[in-house]
Amino acid sequence: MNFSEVFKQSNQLCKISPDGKYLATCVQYRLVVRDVNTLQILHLYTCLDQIVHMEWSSDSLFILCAMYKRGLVQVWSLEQPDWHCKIDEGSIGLVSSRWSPDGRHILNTTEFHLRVTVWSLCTKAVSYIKYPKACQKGMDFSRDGCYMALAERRDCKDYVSVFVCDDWHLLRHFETETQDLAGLEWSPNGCVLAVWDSCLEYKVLLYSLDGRLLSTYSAYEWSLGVKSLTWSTSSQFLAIGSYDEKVRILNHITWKKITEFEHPATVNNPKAVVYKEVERRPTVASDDLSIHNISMGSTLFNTQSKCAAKDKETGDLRDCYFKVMLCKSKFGGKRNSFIKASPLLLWPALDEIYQPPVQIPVVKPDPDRANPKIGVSTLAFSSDSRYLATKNDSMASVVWVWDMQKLSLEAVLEHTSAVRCFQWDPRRPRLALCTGNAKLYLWSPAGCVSVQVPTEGGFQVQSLSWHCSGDSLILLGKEQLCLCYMDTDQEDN
Amino acid sequence: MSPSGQNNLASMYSSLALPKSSYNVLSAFCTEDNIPQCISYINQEIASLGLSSTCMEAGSAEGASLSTVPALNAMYELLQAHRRSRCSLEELERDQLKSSSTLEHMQISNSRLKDQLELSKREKSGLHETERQLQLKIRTLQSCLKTEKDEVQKLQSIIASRASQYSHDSKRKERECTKLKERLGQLLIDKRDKKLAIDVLNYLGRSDGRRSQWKTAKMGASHEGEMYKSLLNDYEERHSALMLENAELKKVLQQMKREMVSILSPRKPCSRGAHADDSYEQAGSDREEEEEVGGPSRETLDQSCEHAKEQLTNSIRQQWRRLKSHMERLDSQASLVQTQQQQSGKEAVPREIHNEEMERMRLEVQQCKDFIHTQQQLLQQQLNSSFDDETAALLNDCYTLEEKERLKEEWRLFEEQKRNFERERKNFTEAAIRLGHEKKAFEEDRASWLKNQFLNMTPFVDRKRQSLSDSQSSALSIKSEPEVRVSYTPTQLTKSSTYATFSTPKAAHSAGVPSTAELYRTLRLIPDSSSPRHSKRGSWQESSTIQAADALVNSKHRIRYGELSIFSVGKDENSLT
Repeated sequence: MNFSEVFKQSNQLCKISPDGKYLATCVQYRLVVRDVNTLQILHLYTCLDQIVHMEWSSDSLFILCAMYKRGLVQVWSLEQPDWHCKIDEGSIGLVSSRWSPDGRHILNTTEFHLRVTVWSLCTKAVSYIKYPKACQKGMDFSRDGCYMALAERRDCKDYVSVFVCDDWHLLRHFETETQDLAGLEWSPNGCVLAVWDSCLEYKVLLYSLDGRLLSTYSAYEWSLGVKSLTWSTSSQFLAIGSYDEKVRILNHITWKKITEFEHPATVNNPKAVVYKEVERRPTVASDDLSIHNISMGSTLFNTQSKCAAKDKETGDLRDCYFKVMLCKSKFGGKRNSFIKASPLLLWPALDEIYQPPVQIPVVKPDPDRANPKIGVSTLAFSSDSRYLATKNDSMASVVWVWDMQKLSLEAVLEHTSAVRCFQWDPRRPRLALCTGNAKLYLWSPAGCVSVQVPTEGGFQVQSLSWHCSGDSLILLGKEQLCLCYMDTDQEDN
Repeated sequence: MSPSGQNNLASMYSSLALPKSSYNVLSAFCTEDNIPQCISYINQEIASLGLSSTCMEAGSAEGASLSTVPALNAMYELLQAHRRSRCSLEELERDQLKSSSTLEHMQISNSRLKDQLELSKREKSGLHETERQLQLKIRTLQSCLKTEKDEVQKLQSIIASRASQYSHDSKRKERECTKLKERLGQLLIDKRDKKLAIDVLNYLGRSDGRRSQWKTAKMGASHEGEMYKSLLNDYEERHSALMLENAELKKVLQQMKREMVSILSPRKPCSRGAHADDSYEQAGSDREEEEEVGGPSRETLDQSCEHAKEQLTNSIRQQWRRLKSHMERLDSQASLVQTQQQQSGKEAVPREIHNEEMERMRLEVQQCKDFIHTQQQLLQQQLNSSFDDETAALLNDCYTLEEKERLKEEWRLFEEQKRNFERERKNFTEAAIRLGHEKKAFEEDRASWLKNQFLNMTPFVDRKRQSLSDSQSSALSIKSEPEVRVSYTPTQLTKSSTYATFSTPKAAHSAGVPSTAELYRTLRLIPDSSSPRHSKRGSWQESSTIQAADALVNSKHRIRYGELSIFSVGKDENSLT
């Protein structure tokens, strides 16, 4: 596993292009586009103000930079660096800006959700969509980019409009049976639209593309309801996370519940593997020293820091042994420094494997506050739909991995601090997570690994995202970013 | 006796006791001076006591003298009275003690009971108090409940009103909001916001390379079409997937059914035996099923056919039910056997059954024997006793017929034996004749040999010998040996003959008359001395080949020959040792 050197970024704006070739980062009001492989700067664009939002177009040719405060959107082209486009929403304000799936239209949502403005880069045409609803997820494009579903609110009733993205033709417009629609999401095959009500009521409605109500699902009443919802990549399952700390899985044929996954404070399932991270501090000085050496060294050299020698009483060599080396870039003439750390903390890095029953730390939410920190807030299916990762807010440091074939708990990953972000490898059943410290955690059916990010000055991983090939990861710190390269072929030294 | 009397007595006692104790003291009751007074006093006293006071008076005239008899009488009476009184006193005292103790007891119990009474009274009052309190509490609680209920109702109504108010308000607010938004939008549009603009260097081509199209009704229709197409595609996909799954499941069902049938069909006979009533039904349905199974191609052909599907599921269900019942039966049987085994040890069960069976069979045999016996007896009786001629004749006929049959059989056997004997005799005579011939030849040989011997003495030995050997048969070539070994004796020769495959005429000659065994050997009916160790059959075959001339070889003969051969072997061994 290799790590790149650290780059600056701001607002955690750092995205890899959909084709996987470029890496765009925002630093204050500058947009930097690099080559993913060499990390060389290819383009540098300067915007009018500090960038708040940045997004690649689907064809990886354009980048949208939004400056909400100024109501401005700037678009940059990779092919023609001198091409530019500036959209000014004017005094009406701007709260959200995004690309349409074709990469030729920009959808801006104005302040107060007055309207959605659709700007065409082809014809300069502007169209407005009125009455968009301000909610959790009021707009969703189908995976094939053909249709857009938009939640609307008119006369105190919820409606859904389905547009054809090609020419923004309104295909369907129907009222939904919701009290207060909270979100909508297309199934990956683009034929079913899942609509859920606000948390005050547990209600999930499934609409066909043509606006027919296929099914309604409600697990219970008189309690806080749906917190999150996600489709499996195969469109076969619909996972609904709710405030009762359960995930319910619906099937795509009868739209009935197949199973429900509980998140108990005591894991009793003997088949589930519980990984528990235990704080064990390796000597930091040697790490610093090695990093220091690297920063000083101009030529290729190896530094080995064996804290294990000092830390023999703990007996865990793997826990604190890692090798840091500086090596030459393989690409181009320009010297680029990679920090290679291998072998890193290996399996089972999250300390011993615990056999259930295992007690999991639970933080009781304050019942008097709105939006209590309880319930399943994050759900993610692996790319092959084989696994489902969930996080319950009352156990923020724990990620649960469920096997969708056996419909049972596969693993429980307990960390020392709250999990900030987790994401599945887009190619393999491999889960990457971060907890806001200097470690990267990886889970795969084979086991669990945690890797110390070998960078200077306390790089704290706040967020991460995979490269589309699944070979590398972007790790985002507060003001920095760094790339982590997964090497499958153990090319050591 | 009254307490006053008692008191009197006590006083009397004291008065009596005092003088007694103080008799020696000066103040005695009676002194020399006051005797008459004393007497009179005593008299009075006695009189007062109801006794005869006269006894004392007699002596009063003479002063101090006292008439003894009445005095003694009086004294005696007094003593008696005293004793009686003492007795009664004791009794009374005892009584008193008793009564006092009972009284005390009574008093104690009384006081205790009084205490108890007090206590219970207090308790009662306490309970009364608590009851009162509880009732009070209940009353208060009831009132509380009522108020609470009221409160709840009130709250509910408040909540409802608030909810409606809220929803109403929110709706109102929302409406206002939308109105505001609209107004804002209107204003913004009216204001002709100059800033609202897009500034593009040059327009981009569409990502798919096409040019944008005008919005027309046709476009809408085409969009609809697209949408339905995609929906249709999805449904088709799902349908095909389901079909595939269905087919798979059906296959599994078919296989299951086939296996079930195959499992169940061999059990039919036993099940029929065990449960005759339902086995017929089963067999019937089985045949049906087999027919169905027999045509799987038909099944696959109209897989989607509703009817076929139903049939399939029905048959599966049926089979499954049968399998279940069968399994249950097996289970129950197994449990039965288990319980039996538990009741009596594991080994005891079969033995017991065995014994039982044996006993039963023995009984049966006995019964049969008895039956036969009685039948025989009856027959005998019938034969012996005088019964009608017809049946007798019939029976006789029966018996004679049977006898005749048996005789015929025996006759046949006899005939056969006779024939065998005849054959043997013929063989024997033939052998004898052959022997005679050989003997003759031998004699001739001998003669020639003697002649040779005789001639040997002459110088023309060699030539003649050669001519002679040429003329001899191969069987007799052995004779040349003794010629070489001149020292041979006839006994040695016989010994060697037993070793030799052929029994030479010389040996026979030396033995004189040939034994039967030798004869047989000569006839090759028995193998030579070395061969009996081999299989008997080989020897039989040998004999049969030799006896090719004889048409028939009976198995009986064979056996006999076998026996003989063994016998002869034994003889040979004897001769060898």
